[in-house]
Amino acid sequence: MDNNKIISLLQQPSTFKEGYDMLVKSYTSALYWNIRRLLVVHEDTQDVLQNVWVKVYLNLPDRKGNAESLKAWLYKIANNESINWLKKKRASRWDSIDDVNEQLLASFTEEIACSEEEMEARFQKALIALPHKQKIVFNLRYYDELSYQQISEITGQSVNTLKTNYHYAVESIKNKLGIKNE
Amino acid sequence: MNNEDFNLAGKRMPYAVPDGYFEQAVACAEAIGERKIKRQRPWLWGISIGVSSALAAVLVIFICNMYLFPAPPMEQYQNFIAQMSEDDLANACADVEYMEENLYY
Repeated sequence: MDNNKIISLLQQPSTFKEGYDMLVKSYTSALYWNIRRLLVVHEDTQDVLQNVWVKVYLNLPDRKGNAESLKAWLYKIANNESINWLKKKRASRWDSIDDVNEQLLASFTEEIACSEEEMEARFQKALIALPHKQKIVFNLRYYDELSYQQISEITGQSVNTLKTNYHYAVESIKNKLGIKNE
Repeated sequence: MNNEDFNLAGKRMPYAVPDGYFEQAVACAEAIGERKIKRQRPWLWGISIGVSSALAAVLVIFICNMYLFPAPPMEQYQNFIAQMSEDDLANACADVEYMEENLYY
C-alpha cells in the first residue's frame, strides 16, 4: 500500500476520485476483518463497513496529516463505527458494551465455518470474550500490526496503558487455550 | 500447545465470507464517491421549514383579518356620536379623563 501516492492524489481535486478509489482498494479487506473480529456477524460488518466508507469520503477533504497517520485515521473511524454499532445492541443504555459479548459468542457459533473445537475457533472465542478495551488493542496490534503510537492515535490512550491492555489480552487468550508461557 | 500455536491459530480466520464479496464491497465503496454525497444537516432543514411555516401562517391570518373583518367607515362613528345625548357625551369624556389620570398620575 503506497499511502504517499494516495495522499498526493487526494490533495488535487482533479485526481481526488482516483486517490479515493485507490484507498478503497487498499483498505477494504483490512478494515472488513478488523470490524468482523469485533462484530462477528458478516451482515453487520457489511453495513458498518459501508458507513465507514461514507464517513471517510465525506471527511477526506478536511483531513490533515501525513501518509503515516492515514492508516490510523481509517482504523479510528472503523473502530468508532463498530463501537457505536455494539452500543445499539445493548439491552439498555446503562449496560456496559462488554455485556454484548454474550450475544457475540452466541452469534459466533452460527457464523463459523469450522468446528468449534478447532484451534482457530477456540482462539476467536477467547478473543470475543475479552473486555472491549483489550480486544481493540489486541486486534490492532496482533492482526493489523499497528505500532503502539498508531494505536494511541486511534484510541486516545497512552502507550503504557495500551501495552498493559495488550499483555492482559494475550495472557487471557493463552489461559483459555491452555498455552503455558515459556 | 505452545507460543507458535498462538501465533498460527490466531491469524487463521474461522469465519466464512460470501464468494466475490470483496469485489462487490470495493465497487460499493467506489460508488459512494460517484454519488457525491453532500453533508446532510437534517436539523437545519427542520428549523427552516418551521420558521417558513410560522411566517406563512402569520401572513395568512393578517390578510384574512383585513378582508373578512374590515374596519367600519368613519361616518358610522360620526353618526353614533351625533346620536348620543349630552349626558352620555359628558360621561364618555369623564371616562377618558379618569383613564388618563390613572395612566399618568
